[in-house]
Amino acid sequence: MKPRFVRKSRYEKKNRYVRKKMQLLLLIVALLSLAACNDDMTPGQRWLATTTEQIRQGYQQLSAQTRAQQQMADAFCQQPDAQGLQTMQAAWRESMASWQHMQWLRMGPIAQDNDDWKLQFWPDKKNILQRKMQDILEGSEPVSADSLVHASVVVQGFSAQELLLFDPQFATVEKFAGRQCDLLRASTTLTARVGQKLADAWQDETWLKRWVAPTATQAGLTPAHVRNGEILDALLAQIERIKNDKLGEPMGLKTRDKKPNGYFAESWRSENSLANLQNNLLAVQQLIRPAQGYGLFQYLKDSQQQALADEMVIKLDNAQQALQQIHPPLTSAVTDAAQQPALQNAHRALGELATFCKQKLAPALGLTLGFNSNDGD
Amino acid sequence: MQRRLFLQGMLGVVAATRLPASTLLPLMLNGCQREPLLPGTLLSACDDARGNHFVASIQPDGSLGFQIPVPLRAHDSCASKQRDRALFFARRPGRQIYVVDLHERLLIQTIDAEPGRHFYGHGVISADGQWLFTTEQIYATGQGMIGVYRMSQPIRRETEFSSHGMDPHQLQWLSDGETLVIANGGILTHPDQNRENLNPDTMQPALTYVRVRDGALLESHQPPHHQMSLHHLDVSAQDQVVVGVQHQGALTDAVALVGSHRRGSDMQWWMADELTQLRMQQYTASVAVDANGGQAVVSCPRGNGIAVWDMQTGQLINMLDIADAAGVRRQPQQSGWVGTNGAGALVRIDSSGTATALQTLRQYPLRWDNHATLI
Repeated sequence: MKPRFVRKSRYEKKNRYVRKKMQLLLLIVALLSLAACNDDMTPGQRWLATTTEQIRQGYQQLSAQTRAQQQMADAFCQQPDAQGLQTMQAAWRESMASWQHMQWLRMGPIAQDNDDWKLQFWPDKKNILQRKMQDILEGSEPVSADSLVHASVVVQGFSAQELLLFDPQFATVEKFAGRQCDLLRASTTLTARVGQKLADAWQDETWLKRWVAPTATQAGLTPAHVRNGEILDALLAQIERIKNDKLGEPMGLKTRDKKPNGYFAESWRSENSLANLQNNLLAVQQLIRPAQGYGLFQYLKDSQQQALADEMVIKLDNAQQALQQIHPPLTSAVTDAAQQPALQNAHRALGELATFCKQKLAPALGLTLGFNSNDGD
Repeated sequence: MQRRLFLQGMLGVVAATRLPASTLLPLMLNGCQREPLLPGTLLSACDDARGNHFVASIQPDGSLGFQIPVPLRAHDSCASKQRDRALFFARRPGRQIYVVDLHERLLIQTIDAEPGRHFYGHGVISADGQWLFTTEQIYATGQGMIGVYRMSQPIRRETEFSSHGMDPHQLQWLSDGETLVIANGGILTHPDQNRENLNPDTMQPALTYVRVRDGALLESHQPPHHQMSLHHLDVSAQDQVVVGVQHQGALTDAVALVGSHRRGSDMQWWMADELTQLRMQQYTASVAVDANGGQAVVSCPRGNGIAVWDMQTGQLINMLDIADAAGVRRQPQQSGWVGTNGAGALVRIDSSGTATALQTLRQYPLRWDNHATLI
C-alpha cells in the first residue's frame, strides 16, 4: 500500500480523470436512453447529451483558468513588477474568455446561489464598482478571501479584478505594493472557488439526473424536449443580451437621446468588449456545430430541416463577421462616425439572428420559448 | 393515487360528483357544454410556439379546457360572478377585451376600446357582478382612466373616471367593495411608439385609492424613486396591499421591488439581500397574497423565480427557482398558490413558516402570459 503523502503520478491521475469522465458520459447517455424507453436516442436527446458534455467541459475550463489566475496573482504579489502585471492582465483575459464562453447558461447550479453575479458585476452604469473598491482600499480592515466573501458582490469578481489590473488609476506596479495586492488575491481566490464549485456541480450525478429528466410532462413532450427548449431560450437570451445590452447600450440605442457612451460597454477598462462578444458567439457556434458530438445543425438536418440548418449557420456567421468589422476598442468605436455603419450592421445582424431563433427555429423544432422575462408587462 | 385525483388535490378542487346539486343544475340544463365548469379552473392568456395568441383555461385535473385564438396578445383575466363568462384583457397597448362563454367555450364578444384609448391588460368586476372596471389611457394626454362597463349581455361601456395617475395597470378591490386600489406605473407611452418609455426622467408612479361611487381620490402614495413603476398588486382580506415594482432605472439601483400598504399609513418597502435583488433584475410580474394575509408571492420572470415574502415583517422567506415565472394566484379553499411560467409549466407553491416548496404539476406546449385567474 502506498503511503498517503506520495503523490500519484501524472499518468495515474490522468487515467483516473479519463475513467471518471467516461463514467459520467456513459451516465448521461444511459439516462437519456432510459428516458426514451429504448436504446436509440432521438435527435433531441443526442443534442442534449452533447450540449451537456460541452457545459461540463466549459465549466472545467473556467475552473482551470480561474485557478491559474489565482496562482498567478499569488506569484505576482510576491514581488510586483511590470512584467508580472502584464502576465496578470493576460491571465485575466484568459479567465474572462472562459467565463464569456459559459455566460449564456443562467440556469442550473450557477443560478442556485446567483454565482453569475459573483463572477461578474455588470452592467454598472453608475460606476458603483469604483466607489466600493475605493472604500475597501482606503479601509483598515485586513482583506482576505474569507472577509471579501461577506462583502458586496460588486467587489468580488471579474469586474473588480479588471479595475485593479487595467484602470489607470489603479493598475500601476506601485499600487500593488500593499493592500491592492491583498484585494487582487482575495478576489481571484473567490472567483476560482466559484469556478471549482460549478465544475464540481456538473460532475454530480444527482444533478445530471435532474438535468436530463427535468419536469413533469404531458404526452408528446419528452424531458429532452423540455430541456432543449430551455437551452434554446438561454441561447436566445444571450443573443439578445449581446445585441441590446453589450452593443446597443453603448451605441446609445436604449436611451431616448440615442447618445452613445463607451463606458456602458462590458469590460471597457480592459478594452476587452469585442473579444467578449466574439467569445459569446463562439460558444453559440460550438453548440450548433460542435467539433465532436451532435449539434443543433445535425439535429435540424436529421429532422428534415436542412434549409433551416443552413440558414441558421448563415445568420450566425453574418453576426460573427459583422462584429469583426468593428475596430476595437468598442469604447471609442461607438463615438467614431466612421464606424457607425459597421456598428449598425452588427446590431442588425444580431437582431436577425435573434428573430430567426424566435420566429423560425423554435417553431420548427416545436420548442416553447419563454417570453415574459424579455417582453412582459 | 390516480394522476387526475392528484392534480385535483393540488389545485384544491373537488370532483364534479361532489358538487352540490344547486351548483350543477344550471350547467346540466345547458345542453351545449362539453363538460361542466369546475371550481379550480385556471384562466390564462398564452402564446403557442409560433407566436399565435390565445386565451385558454386549464381544467382542475390539469387538462386543457378551451384554447381560443385571439388577434392580440392578452394579459390578465377575470370571470363574471356567475362564472358564466371569462374576460381577457389585451396587453398594453391593446384595444380589445375578449369575452368567453365558459359553458360554450366560445368567444362571444370582443369589446373595443373607446376611440383614443387603450387598455393596460387588467380589469376587475364588482362584488354584485354588475360592473366591470378596466385600466385605460387617453393616449393623446397620457391620462390614466378607469373604464366602467355594465356586465349586461353584451357588456356595454357606461362611463369612466380618473385613475388619478398615469399608466394605470392592475387594480383591485378593498374589502368594502367600493374602493379600488390602483397601481399607476407613471410611464407615458403612446401606441404609435411601441411601448417605449417617453418620460423616464419625469415619471410619477403612484398607488391610488379611488371611491368608485364618485371617482374621488381617497389616498395617493408615491414610491421613493420616481422610476419605481408600480404595475401589479394584490389585497389581503385585511386590506393589506402588496404591490410589485418594475424599476425603470439602472439595473444596479438599490431600490425595493415590492411594497406594502394599509390605508392611513405610510408605504413599507421590502428589500431582499443584495444577490436576490440583483437576481430579480428590477422586474416583478404577478403578486398574490395568501388567504390569511400571512405571506405573499411575487413572480420574477427575469430572476427566474418566485419570491415568498412575510407580509408582517417584510422579510424575504425564500426565492423559489422557476424559469420565466409568470402568473401566481392563491388557492381559495386551501393554503398555497398555483403558478405558471413562460415555458408552459403549471406549478403549485406551498409555504408554511419558513418552509417553502414549488412543484411542477404539468407542462404544456404553450407560453403562459404573466397572470392567471382561478375561478
